[in-house]
Amino acid sequence: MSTATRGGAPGYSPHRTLSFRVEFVRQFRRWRTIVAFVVLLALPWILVGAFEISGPSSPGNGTPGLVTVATQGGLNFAAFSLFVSVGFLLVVAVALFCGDTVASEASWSSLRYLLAAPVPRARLLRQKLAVALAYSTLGVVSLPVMSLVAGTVVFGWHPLRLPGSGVAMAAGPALVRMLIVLAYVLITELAVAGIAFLLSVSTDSPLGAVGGAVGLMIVSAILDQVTALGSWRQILPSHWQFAWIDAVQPQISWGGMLEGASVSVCYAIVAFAMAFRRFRLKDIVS
Amino acid sequence: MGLVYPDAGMITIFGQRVHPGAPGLSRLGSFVEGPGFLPHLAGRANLELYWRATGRPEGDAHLAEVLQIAGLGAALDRRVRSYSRGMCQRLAIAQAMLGLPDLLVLDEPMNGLDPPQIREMRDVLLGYAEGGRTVILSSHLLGEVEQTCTHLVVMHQGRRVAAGPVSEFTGDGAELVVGTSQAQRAVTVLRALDGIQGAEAHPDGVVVHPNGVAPSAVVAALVGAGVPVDRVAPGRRLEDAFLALIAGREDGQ
Repeated sequence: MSTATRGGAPGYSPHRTLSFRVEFVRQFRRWRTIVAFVVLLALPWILVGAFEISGPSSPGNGTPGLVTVATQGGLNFAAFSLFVSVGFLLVVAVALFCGDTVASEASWSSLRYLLAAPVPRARLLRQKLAVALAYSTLGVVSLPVMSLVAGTVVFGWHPLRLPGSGVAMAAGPALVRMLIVLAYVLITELAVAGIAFLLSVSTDSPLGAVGGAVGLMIVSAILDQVTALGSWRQILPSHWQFAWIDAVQPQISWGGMLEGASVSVCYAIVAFAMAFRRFRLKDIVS
Repeated sequence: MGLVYPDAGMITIFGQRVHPGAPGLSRLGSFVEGPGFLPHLAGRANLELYWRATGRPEGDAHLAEVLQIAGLGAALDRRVRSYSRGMCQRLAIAQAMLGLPDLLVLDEPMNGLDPPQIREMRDVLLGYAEGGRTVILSSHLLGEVEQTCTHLVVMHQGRRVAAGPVSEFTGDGAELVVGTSQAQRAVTVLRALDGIQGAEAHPDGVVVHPNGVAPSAVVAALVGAGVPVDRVAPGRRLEDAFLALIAGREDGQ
């Protein structure tokens, strides 16, 4: 095998440019990354503290919600912390990792030097997307995992008390259910990732890309409240973000989650495709 | 560099057409429109990661040599965020030289450097080119270009106006300025000299068109005639040549 690509410097091969590890390290030591993980890992402890200060929640009458059963054990607490963070915090985290990645390089002007190295454009985008998705996944996973730890330390290891029915589910099957929930949450965040990544390629302002993606999700959530929109609401990226509640019922119903997953994956595919196309044809001038 | 799509025409380097991601670009080092670094990393980490991003063997980077050129000393381990403009500039030129590419393209490399650094940078670039490599620099500092470059392309309003060796522009030996306290006598002496095309008195001295007569012969003739010679300098600077070229273009329009 020849060590040099035709016409390139000795040892240069497009397939070796900007490896996953190098891009991971480039992003790792940034305040942005560190702060995001500190928040995601500290939030469970803050929530635990809040419950401890306010004392045991009153059992209340009728069916218990996720909030009222949050202190019933580590599993319940993990489900609760996902419930409170899925709507906004995780959206912000994913938008941060996927929206900032290309736009910040453009704002530092380091993008043109990477492209001149040369890292082929499609390769650069692919590597950046892979690393951004890896960070997003780590972020989304770290919150419930830390919640499970914090909840178990403080509230003990008990069967999962299902919201609504109050039925107790043994820890083994309950953990499987939590994995299903986590997988579903990851898939719904793909829509956010796609939108943020498309914006990241389209602008030189990292704040614009991250804020734009979060803003669009907020608009989507608001529109979702407008019942007059009827079935149109079902194609909003945020409409299905709580469909995983179906997975913490005595009987899982897959319908909502399947619809939600399809909508999210569609958004992601379209947005990623547009991002690659736009980046391929773009003049890099910043 | 494969960053901007041209409206028309094409660029080739090393006989290869340049397009985004063209492998030939790996033989080109560049510094265009200012430095581009990750502000949260130190200068050294920036260069190391940049080289690793190229995917080429670590030994080919010549990192130590290149860092020597940057001359940043202890600052190399500080975050780039804290660098001054001149430091960023030198780090960026060092980045362009990573791997000692055959072709170096530098856009205004002397901007933001102080005079000793400019001098140093000029020596670095001349040394770099001596090894058989090519350095292309774009600059509006014509004095700098005159001292650094061997060949020159003049661009005006996006079009090539002229190209050739620098000496062709400055017309080495085509014009001499002789500083003397007795200008009138000098003119008389020189006009009588064989081969001299002309000599006129100017405020900054006597402008001579020696037309092939060596400067030493000119000086000898003057001294022989008892005219005091304070200094002799080449007459036309690149700046004058450039302005004359541009003026010619604009008159023609």
